[in-house]
Amino acid sequence: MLFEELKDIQRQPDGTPVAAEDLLRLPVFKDISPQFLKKNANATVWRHFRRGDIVCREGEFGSTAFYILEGKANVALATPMAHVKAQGRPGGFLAQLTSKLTSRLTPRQEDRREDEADRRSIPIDAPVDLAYDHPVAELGPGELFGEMTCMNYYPRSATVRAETDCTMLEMLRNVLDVLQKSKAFRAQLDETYRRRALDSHLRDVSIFRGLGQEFIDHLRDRVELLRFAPGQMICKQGDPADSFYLVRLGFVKVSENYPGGELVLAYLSRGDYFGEIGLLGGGTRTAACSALDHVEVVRISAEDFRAMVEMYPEVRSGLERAARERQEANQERLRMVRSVPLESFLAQGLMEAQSLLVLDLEKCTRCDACVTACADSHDGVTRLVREGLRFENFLVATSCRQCRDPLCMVGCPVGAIRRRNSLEVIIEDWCIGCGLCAKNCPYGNINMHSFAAQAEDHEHPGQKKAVVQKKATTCDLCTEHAEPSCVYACPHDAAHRVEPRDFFAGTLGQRVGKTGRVRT
Amino acid sequence: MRIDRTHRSWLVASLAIFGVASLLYGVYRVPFAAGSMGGTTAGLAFGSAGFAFMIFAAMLGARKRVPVYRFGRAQTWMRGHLWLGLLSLPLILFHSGFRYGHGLTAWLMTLLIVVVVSGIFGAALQHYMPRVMTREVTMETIYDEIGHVRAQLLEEAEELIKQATGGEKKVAAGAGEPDSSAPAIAVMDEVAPLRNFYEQELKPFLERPGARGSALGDAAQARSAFAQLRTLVPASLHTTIEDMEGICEEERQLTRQRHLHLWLHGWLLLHIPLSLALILLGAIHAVMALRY
Amino acid sequence: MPRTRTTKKLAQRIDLDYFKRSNPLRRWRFWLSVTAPALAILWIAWYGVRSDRRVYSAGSLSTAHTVLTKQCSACHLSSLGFYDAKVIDQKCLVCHDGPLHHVTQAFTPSCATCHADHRGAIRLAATSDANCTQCHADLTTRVGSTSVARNISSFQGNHPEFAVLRAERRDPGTVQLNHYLHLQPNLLGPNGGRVQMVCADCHRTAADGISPWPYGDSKKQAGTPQNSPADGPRNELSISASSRAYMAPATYAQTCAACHNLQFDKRLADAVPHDKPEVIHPFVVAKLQAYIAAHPAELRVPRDPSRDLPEEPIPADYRLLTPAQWVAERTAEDEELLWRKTCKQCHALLLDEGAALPKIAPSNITARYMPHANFDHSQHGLVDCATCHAAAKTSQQSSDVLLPGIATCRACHHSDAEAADSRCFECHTYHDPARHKPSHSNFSLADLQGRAR
Repeated sequence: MLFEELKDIQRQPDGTPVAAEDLLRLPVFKDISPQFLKKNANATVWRHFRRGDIVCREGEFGSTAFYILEGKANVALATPMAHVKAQGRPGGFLAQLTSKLTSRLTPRQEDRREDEADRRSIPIDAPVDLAYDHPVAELGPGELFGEMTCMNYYPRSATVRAETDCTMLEMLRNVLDVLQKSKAFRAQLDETYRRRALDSHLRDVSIFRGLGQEFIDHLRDRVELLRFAPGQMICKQGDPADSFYLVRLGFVKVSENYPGGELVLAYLSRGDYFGEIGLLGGGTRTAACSALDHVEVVRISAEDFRAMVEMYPEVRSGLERAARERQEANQERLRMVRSVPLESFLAQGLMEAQSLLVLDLEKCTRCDACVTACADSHDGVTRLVREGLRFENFLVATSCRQCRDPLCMVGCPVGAIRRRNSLEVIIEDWCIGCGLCAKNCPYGNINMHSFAAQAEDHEHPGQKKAVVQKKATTCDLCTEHAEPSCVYACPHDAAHRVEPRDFFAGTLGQRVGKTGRVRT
Repeated sequence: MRIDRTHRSWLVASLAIFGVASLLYGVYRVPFAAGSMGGTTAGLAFGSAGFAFMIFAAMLGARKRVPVYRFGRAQTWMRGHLWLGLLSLPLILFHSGFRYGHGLTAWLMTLLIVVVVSGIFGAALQHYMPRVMTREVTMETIYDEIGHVRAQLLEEAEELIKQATGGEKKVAAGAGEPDSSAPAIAVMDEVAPLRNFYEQELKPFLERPGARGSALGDAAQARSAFAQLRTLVPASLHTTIEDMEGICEEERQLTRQRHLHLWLHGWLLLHIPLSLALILLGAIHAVMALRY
Repeated sequence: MPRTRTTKKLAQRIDLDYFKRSNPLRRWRFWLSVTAPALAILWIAWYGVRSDRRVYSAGSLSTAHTVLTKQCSACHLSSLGFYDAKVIDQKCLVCHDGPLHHVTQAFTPSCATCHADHRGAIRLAATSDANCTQCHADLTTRVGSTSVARNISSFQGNHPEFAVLRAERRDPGTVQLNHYLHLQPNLLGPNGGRVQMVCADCHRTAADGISPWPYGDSKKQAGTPQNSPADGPRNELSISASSRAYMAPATYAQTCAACHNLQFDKRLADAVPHDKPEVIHPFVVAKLQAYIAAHPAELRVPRDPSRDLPEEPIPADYRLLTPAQWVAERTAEDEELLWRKTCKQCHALLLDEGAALPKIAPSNITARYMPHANFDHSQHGLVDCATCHAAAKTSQQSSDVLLPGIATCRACHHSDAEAADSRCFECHTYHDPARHKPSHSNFSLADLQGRAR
């Protein structure tokens, strides 16, 4: 038993609030004000789990965090490690011709997508991350899990099951908030993090991948753990780039400012990193990073780093390469951003879109061929709905818009939704089907669909059982083909996948009019 | 499909085919003015070409069933269907030597003319109707879901009424003393016209929007009905009334949409079955005429 | 709370499976698409089951073949015994004979090429010009030479002038007739009165020959054969006694006898028969013999002073002749009159030096001027003879050919819609009638009624 103090504490039945006196006995609660605890008497409860009980399931919504007092718990992802892929049959000319795309769950080994991050660990809302190959880990006494759920109301990121009989504290946000401010608690959390997770996080950074354990150990001791409140700037565009950041908790918004507006480049979550260019020293930040919610980061300063770089020249070359790639990507993005947007266009949020599926209503005979084709290419599940608001004589269909500011990516508890340079939204293998992205998308473009899959049967270890797993699906632009299925199948030349500003350029130009005023 | 400039190449090609066919007809027909055209070499050529065009046109239906198969964009098939299908009529007329025929061939000629004419009619509908629909039905939804959406509109209206009248009741209950019934009644009176209107006019209309006799089925009448209603209820409820008006407008538009949609798609009920029969009988005619 | 419309709200109203469900439109479309072809199949099957192939017929049959409407196999039977849409010649030849047109023709088309049936109630023999001009527009034969013009495409166009009128041909008839004279008014008639003759007094079709002839021999009206064997018609085609198409050659008995008396002697009222000299001579002799036997006083022939010749001694006042002598003298005198005047007036006589009797050239009256074309006078009855045969009014020579030329025909028979028909078959027959053989078909009544088989 980790906590000697627990000997003296009278355990109460499952669900009973923990008495303030008992709480104060625990080392982590040392600095907490007793009045606060008394006032929030019901905010912390005793939880007892028998061996094999499920503490929480992935995808469920919750608002509490768990602190293990005694016992061991198993944290794992029950979802099959496979992403939804629409693919046709392999084969010759005839097979290609008659390819009816099916949506299948495909693991990474079978389908390697280009420019994949090659992530080896999956970030979850716990002190430890799960390895891709074997997404199971163990949590022990003194470890806190469910922080993100508690602080930001995200869905549970993994399934926790008691491995032995456990005693835990379940607490609400106000208690956790106060705890996080206490030095003792912070010290313990930081120490746990450094010990368990930092290693794998650092390894996941591509430039650090091939490094020896000694280097990692060296780095580990020199990192700073920082916290930011929602909305707080971590670094501004144009600041001198002097440190490297690794996200430990929460979401960081990385954006660039252009004359036309703000372009969100990415939402970084646990395990992601930014600012590696800063490690080389010199240069300025090309993007601004701000905390979207309660964020905790790991910061490595350039001076600390430089010393180590002398010892490991290959790190430097890796960094330089990364910097070059980053620059190129930036140039590319700069090129894509255009001139001043117009009100009427903005009103519908069409400026947010980089790619729209528009249906020319003056040609569309409402025959549903596009929807049928989309469903046929995706195993009977349509990724587009022929309904939405109109812009002039076009219907802007409900289908992924590849938004500049991808709100769908905010809040994914397992960081499974991201975007590639080809604008396509990718949903990774470990999507747990919580549906948050679907809720977040302001246009309703993401839908949850059920798939039949085989998963580990915990009642009979070693065997698999059939489960129905929900996964998020969205329009994938039919990248398998030269032309999206919906556009290909429209007999009346009414469906078009367009870049809105180019497509409506003529109209937008007209709408400005001679006087320069925007006509509505 | 709008027949616009993008069809130009098809038009030119079709005219060329028609021109060549007419020339050939003039050359081969005149010497055999008395005899039957169908069995001559030129006649057989015309018949085969015409039938081939008809089969291609019929294939459009099959093509649409496998939209994902990538052999030819749906647009190309559609344009081919329109133009080659149209050409099949003059080709078959040339094949028959402009004779109507007898028995099977007479039926075939009738079917062909009906199918092509209905096709032209349908093409015209598909040219004009989308624009009409877009203009007239701004709150369009998916035709197949009109019933579903209507159910949701009804729910929305119910919810509106509940909030408007129920809310008032709550205010009355909370504000007034338990025993002073006067203010409660006063408030109830204010809301009553709205509730009555809902029960007597709006709800029946929403439940059966297509039924005649409802004032709300006509835009002008509805406007005046709602205007009148507005004078009977306090200003606080005017937003509710506006929302209801919106719901009614949407209902009317959905009725209009259904009507237009049936026009836009109804002609297919004639065109498709008859064209299938035409192909079938045409095949029989080809077999019987060639075998013997 | 005003209603708002957002894309998400609108999209979430929609059930994502809507396009898979059926709706009335789709159901109707499906069922109609099943029903229409099914009906078509049933309709065909109904005919198929009854082995009734009329549904595949291209049109109703011509008038002549209508009786065979249900007997498709009467014509449509291949040599192998199977139904065949192409009708082979053998089937036509069962009932018809279609003799060869011309031995040297380059090819022989099949019956069905020109005679296409199933075009409704038409005359099957009325073929289009195309069937003729396929050869005659640019004629080639197996032997190379042709007996007709090489390029004939239409009657209106390049159909040549009638052969008899080309190259200044002359009427071969040896009987002299001056039409102009005969058509003058105030001719001296049979009974002394004045007459005006018209065409029909002499020229009638064979069938009309029965009616009384105004200038014919009254004793010989009924049952007179048209064509005396002595002056047979020029060509082989004879005209039947009932023909209304052609004008029968005019005979002396019918058309000349009343005015042109063949009296040979002033003593006798008799006329010689209109026959060969070999017949006339014995007739004359016989008549004279009978006369002198009845009038023996005539044997004493007084001298006729007007016949005295100056140098010659004056004959006796009377001569007494034997009957034979008298007959001989009178015969010579009468025949002199006949040969040199009476017969000669119309006929061409050949009087050889040594021969006792002259030879009369055959009359060569042409019965049909156009042996390869048919012409029917009765169908042209609406027209006055002189309109077409205008030359007759002015013709003074019988060598004139009074047949109207092609221009006269073309006045009505041209290719305009309101004109008379000018197709080849109106005048010409493809199948050579001279080669026509009878055919025997063996359809029984039961066959025709469809009761057998």
